[in-house]
Amino acid sequence: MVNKKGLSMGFLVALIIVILSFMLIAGVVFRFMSDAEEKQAEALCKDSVALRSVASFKVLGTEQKIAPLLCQTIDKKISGSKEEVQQIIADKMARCWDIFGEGRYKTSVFENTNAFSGGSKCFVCSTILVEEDNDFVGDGVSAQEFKDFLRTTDYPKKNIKYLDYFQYGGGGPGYVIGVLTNEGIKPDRAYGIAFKAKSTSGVLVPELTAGGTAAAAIGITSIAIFGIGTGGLGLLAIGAAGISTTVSDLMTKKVTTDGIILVDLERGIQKEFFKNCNLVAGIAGT
Amino acid sequence: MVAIKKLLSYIIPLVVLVLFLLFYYNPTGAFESVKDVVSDVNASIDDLIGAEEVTASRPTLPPAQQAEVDKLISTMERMKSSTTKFCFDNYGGFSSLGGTTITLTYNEQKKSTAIEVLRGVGGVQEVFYKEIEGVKPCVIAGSEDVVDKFYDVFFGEWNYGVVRPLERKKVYLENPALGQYFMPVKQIMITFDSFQGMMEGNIIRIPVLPSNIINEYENFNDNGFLYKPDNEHICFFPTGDNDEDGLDEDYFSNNGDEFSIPQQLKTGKINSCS
Repeated sequence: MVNKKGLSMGFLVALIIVILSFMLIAGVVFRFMSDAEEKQAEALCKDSVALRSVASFKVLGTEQKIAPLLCQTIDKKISGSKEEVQQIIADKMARCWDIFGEGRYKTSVFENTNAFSGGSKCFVCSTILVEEDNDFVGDGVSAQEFKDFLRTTDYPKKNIKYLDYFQYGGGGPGYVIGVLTNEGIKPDRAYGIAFKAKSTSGVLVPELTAGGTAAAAIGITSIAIFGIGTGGLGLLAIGAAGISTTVSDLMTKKVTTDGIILVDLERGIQKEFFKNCNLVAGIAGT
Repeated sequence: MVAIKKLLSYIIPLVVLVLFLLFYYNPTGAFESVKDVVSDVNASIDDLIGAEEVTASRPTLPPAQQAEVDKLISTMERMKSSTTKFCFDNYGGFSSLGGTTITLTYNEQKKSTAIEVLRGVGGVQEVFYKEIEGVKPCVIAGSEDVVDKFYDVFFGEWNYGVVRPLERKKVYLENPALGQYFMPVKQIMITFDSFQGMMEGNIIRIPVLPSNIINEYENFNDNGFLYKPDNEHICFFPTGDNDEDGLDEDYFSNNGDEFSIPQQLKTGKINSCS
């Protein structure tokens, strides 16, 4: 004689175990897929940058690029302790630098030709939302603190400090700038990581200075970046009153080096920043 | 007969092969010529195809500028350690900075002043960094009141021939409640700038102040002097017209004027920190 109660109980337990297992496995798989998606997008972008450079050719001494860029901005949520958040942001900045050639290319990766001079262009590699976390204790990470982190912490993939990697360690010259508020990096705020290409000195059109005379050299004067409550010139914090002066000083001076910029996406800063840096759209139209 | 024909059909191709190999592979043969042509074609393709690349090395300061920065730091550290109050010292000044920017930034948490130097490609790379503990930056400028009080303390004796009592000096120096004769600041920036190819020279800027104060070209003619008002501040001298932009540069020159800082130090009228 079959025990019907025993049968149904056993079936129920088995069913619950199957459902729980499915949820666990699905969670892992979806997380893996989303990480994989992000890595896939980064790899595609990096390959398109490399192909664009390899496939460029010279005509009458000017460089022409024909392969398109296949890049998109990646949105990411992060959380953790202060050190973990700084590490993740630094890694994303390093990845952005790596994707766009580490400053190795002589002409801007965004320009199709270097026949004419052009202002610099930016591409936002990723937007990062820092979420609340019990481990993130105290005030935000100030601009000075984050600059100290980049100066003193090793970038594991290259075995040199992050700051050195941005400035020369990838092979080409570069720089890193932060445009943050006095609150620095903290939960419930969003930040953008952008690659800023070098200004192009036109081969056919001589570069002009603001005074109107042809310049024998570009970038002979340091950028005068000002900030209120600044934590350091290279990585600076700016108050509301100083936004326009600070950002436009940075963006309108001709800088013949590629750079990585961490920018607080607070509305006022974002507006000023992207007003002054010609944004390159990604393949997703973002 | 058949055998000879067979032999010839083997030998002739063999001889042709040997001749061909000799022709092609000998040191001055066709193979070398083909190699030369191919490598020339390769080089031309390299010139035509592929983006040009640049290489980078660790950015550094020119030795002369590094020496000037080192001297500034050693002077500030010496002043910090000195027990003499209300004293002056000299770091030698900066030659034309060109593409270099020096910033001094006070870190409230660490209670130290960070000295950061930017240069490198485009003038935006950090080439030097050092922290000096226990030091806060200040300027003798920023408001007319500050400059007037400092002037009264150290140069007022010669003002329009009126001899001011020494007690007046002590009042400002030892009674901060009467008002500051120096201005503590969070950051000082020193660099080089020019205006349309003229008025070229080093400039000093204070980012926390409104943009119309301490904003002149060539306003850092301090002749290398620094001032220590108390146990933690070290003041720089922006130069102006004895107004909010700073003192007149004549007060720092070596022209032998009785009221100038170099002369007052020589005669012992004012204190030296070292």
